[in-house]
Amino acid sequence: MSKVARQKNFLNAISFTTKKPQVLINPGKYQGMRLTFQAQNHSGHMGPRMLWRKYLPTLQFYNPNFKIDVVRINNEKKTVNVPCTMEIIDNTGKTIDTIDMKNKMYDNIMDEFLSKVEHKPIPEDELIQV
Amino acid sequence: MSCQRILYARSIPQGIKHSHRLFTTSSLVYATEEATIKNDAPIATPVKTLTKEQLKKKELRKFLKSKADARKAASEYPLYMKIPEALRYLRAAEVGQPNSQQTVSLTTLIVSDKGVPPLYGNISFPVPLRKSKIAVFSNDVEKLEELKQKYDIYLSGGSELIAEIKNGNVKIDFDKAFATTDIASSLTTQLGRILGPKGVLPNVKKGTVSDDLVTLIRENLGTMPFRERNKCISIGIGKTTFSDEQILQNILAARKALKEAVSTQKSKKPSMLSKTTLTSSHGPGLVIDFN
Repeated sequence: MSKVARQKNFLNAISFTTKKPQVLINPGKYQGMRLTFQAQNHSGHMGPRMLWRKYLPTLQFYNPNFKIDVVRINNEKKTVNVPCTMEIIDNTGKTIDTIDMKNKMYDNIMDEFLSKVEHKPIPEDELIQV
Repeated sequence: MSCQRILYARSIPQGIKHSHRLFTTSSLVYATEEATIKNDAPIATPVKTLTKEQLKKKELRKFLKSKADARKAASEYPLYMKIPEALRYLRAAEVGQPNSQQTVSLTTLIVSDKGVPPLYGNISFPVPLRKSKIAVFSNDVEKLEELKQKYDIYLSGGSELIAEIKNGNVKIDFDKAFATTDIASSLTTQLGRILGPKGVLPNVKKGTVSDDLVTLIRENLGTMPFRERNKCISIGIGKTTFSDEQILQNILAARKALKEAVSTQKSKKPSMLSKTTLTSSHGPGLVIDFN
């Protein structure tokens, strides 16, 4: 694959080909979200990491003002019980909902997030393709 | 000998050992040949070596292509984007990364002839990325104290600081260095090899050596130096948390400084600014219109 084609695929993955997070989250109600999980995969923390890698860029692309904080905690020696949560923050700065992401697939976490948040899908003609 | 080679090039029947009694002399020759070659390492394919003239031509072709590319409009590149759109992609690519790793940077390729001195200069950003760290060398202790009180100076000292840097006790992580004339010569002799390649050696030619340090520092405080390396200039423009307008302002300031550096270059054939990309720590490189 040429350099340009690879780059195009990368950009399209952000803005076009990843369908699930192509939603507009109600900006009047929500300020952002905060994800807390482990930097390592063990103890069921792979789901949130994959969610961050696969879905959050698209979510941020279509919601530029939605603040996404990712807090990753190093726990190489497996000594600490690290929380694995997603907090949804409303416009006043309060946490209104918390999702436990431990031992869940990134797809399921996204479904759960969308079921708890007011949103509407972005129409097909407004999607940006490189 | 030539006969043997031709024979070896024929297709090889399976199961022939060189102890086999063969009827024709030609096959016998082939069998012994096979046995000797089998013991050796596999034959490498011959490497194509270009002659000096061919190499020169190749280099010239490459240079002419880069020159033609420099004249091309940015919109002709396949991944050209307008700056706000490019920033939107970069912000998406940087999501969730720590703030220290979200730097947006601008890279410009430089096309220049052989022997043309590298471009360098200073940019004064309207929205600085960070404070530039300044080092001041002087034997005059009172003056240094006065300067320290007036400005935010990262490192200061006289001959003892030179010795420390020479021993490696003090890290060279400052962006700029100034010196007074009394210490400049000893700086060049002792630290020329260390500070020179990093581009932070105080030098009369560059205008970083003067007895009037106060005005010198005042003029240079908010500026960031840049320098051409490996035929390109790369400058940190901002963070992804900056607004579009702030980044645009910084890009304009960088453009002004780069154009000034090209126009003041002491060379018969001035360098050309070529493809300019906007990129971030983890993001893709996107071509933008810089001219």
